[in-house]
Amino acid sequence: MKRRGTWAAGCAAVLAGAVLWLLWPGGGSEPTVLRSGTEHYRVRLTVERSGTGPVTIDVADLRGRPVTLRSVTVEPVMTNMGHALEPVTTVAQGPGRYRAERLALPMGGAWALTVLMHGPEGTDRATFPVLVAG
Amino acid sequence: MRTYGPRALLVPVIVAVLMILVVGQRPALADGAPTGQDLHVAQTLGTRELSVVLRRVDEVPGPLRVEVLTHAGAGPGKLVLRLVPTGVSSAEDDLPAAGSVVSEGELVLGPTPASYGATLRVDRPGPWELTVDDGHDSGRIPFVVPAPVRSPPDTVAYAAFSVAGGLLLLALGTAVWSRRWWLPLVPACGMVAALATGVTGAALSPLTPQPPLPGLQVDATVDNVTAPYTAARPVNADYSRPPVNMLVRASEKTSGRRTDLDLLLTDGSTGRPVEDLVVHDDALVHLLVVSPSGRLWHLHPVMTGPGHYRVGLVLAEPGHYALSAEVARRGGGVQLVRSAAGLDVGEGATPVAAAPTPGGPGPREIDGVRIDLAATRPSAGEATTITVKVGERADLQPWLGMVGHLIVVGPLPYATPVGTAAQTAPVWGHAHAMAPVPRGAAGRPDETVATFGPEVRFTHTFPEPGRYRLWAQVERGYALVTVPAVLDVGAP
Repeated sequence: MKRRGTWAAGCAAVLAGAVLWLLWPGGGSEPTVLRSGTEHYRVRLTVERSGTGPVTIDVADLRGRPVTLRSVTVEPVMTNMGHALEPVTTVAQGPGRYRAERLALPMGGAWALTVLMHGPEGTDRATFPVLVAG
Repeated sequence: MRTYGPRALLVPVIVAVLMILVVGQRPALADGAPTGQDLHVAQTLGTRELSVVLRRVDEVPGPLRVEVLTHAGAGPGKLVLRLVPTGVSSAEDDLPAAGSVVSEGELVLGPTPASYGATLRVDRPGPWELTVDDGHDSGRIPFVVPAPVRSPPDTVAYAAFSVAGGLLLLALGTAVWSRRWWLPLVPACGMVAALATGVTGAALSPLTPQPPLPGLQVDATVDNVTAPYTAARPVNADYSRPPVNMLVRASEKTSGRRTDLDLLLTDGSTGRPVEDLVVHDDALVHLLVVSPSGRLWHLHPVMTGPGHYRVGLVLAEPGHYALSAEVARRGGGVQLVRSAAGLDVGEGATPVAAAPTPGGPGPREIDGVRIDLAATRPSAGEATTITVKVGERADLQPWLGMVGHLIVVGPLPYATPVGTAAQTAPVWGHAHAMAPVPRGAAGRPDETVATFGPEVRFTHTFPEPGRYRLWAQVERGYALVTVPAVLDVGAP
């Protein structure tokens, strides 16, 4: 009788674990961090929240040292829709770090954020595909 | 101590065979459909017309074989090939950053047409660019290195069948060695459950919706190439993009000199450079140029930057040139972009004789080869078949994947120079004669297979009656043969 109870408890525990694993809420609030690069720079883009929120761009040279640029702007576009928004200018926040407090992507769908980096080597551009939940 | 006699030998043999069957099946890279295919891209680089072939990549990191086929008239020289990963990734890794050259190779081209190859190395899946540089001009070819991908039901099926195999071994083992009668039943029941899961996964596998194709339907990233089923997908399954505008700039506007034509392709809605052209009919851009007297160029400009394509040619005649480009954007079909302004070229130092007006259907000779052109009674609105017989032997080679190309421009007014008339002609057509591919054959014949023709048949429906200019194009002896003709299309 005792053994049967142990079995039943074990099965229930496994079942509960499976249900919990399936129903565990997926992380949607973590920032999206994307890495890319150009001929001159390594670029990391951090979108804090999907939709409207701050965006941070970290620019380093090919050895990984932070780079100071003249200006960094972000151009949001929905390519499929033929819909472009006004470019967002970032503010330098430290060595190689550029941040815009408010990047609004007002529609769900596939966006492309083109980061334009104006520096001593000319203008480099890196495009980051970002999907905003509908 | 118990002894088992011959069973002592039998059981380890069974276990070993089952282990080989279950564990020996390497599930990692070997399964699934072929993950890629060869990419053929024509490039008009400097004075050379090159066919660049990127062979399929079977393993990442691994080799990428690049072959470059030259054509008649291309002199000796050197090409430098560079591979640059261009993909955005959410994972942090120790690989060189996107945008940096990770592999380089060199090709020494001989004086005769031949295929030259180099083996480069790719270190990650995702979008890449191959740069082909002849020292003066360079062109970039975007392509995607695929990753071996399995759909979630497939993954479940593989895992479940593996577990079932393991449990089967366990059941056998416990049946042999255990003294308790019920103990083998536990792994046996588990095996049945695992088999049921596996069969369900395998049955669901063909019903799983395919994720959008990175590079062809959606912008490729390292993430959506590596894990297309887990990557977020657009809510809308309409992947098409706005039409393209084309600006044409010429470095020289006097005749007889070598001219660089710069094509700036911009998005019709946002005005931004079009960075998402995909290879269609073996090229990123098919540029057609019609000269004032009716010479035709069919060129393949190379990509030099975002939305920027370049091609060099000698515009020998003064007068008006008409241009059009066929391009395909990611997610959508092919579009024909006609340059609304065309190109006006002033008279240079050495004026060149205008091309004579070609004849209609009938025999002619081009470069010492007899060519017969015939057409069924051409009538507007009805399918007309134009047959071009080049020489007597079946020795044509596929060009851009087709045995023949037929360019059609018209209807053209009689007295106007062809370039000027083509500028406003309502119809610019591009018909194909395809190479027959045997049923079940994997791949397709490439340019080295010279067994097609000598008759090439094109069928095209002319929408309006009038006089049309035709140019049939075939490849023979690694040289492009262009057959100009005039066709009068009658009223229905």
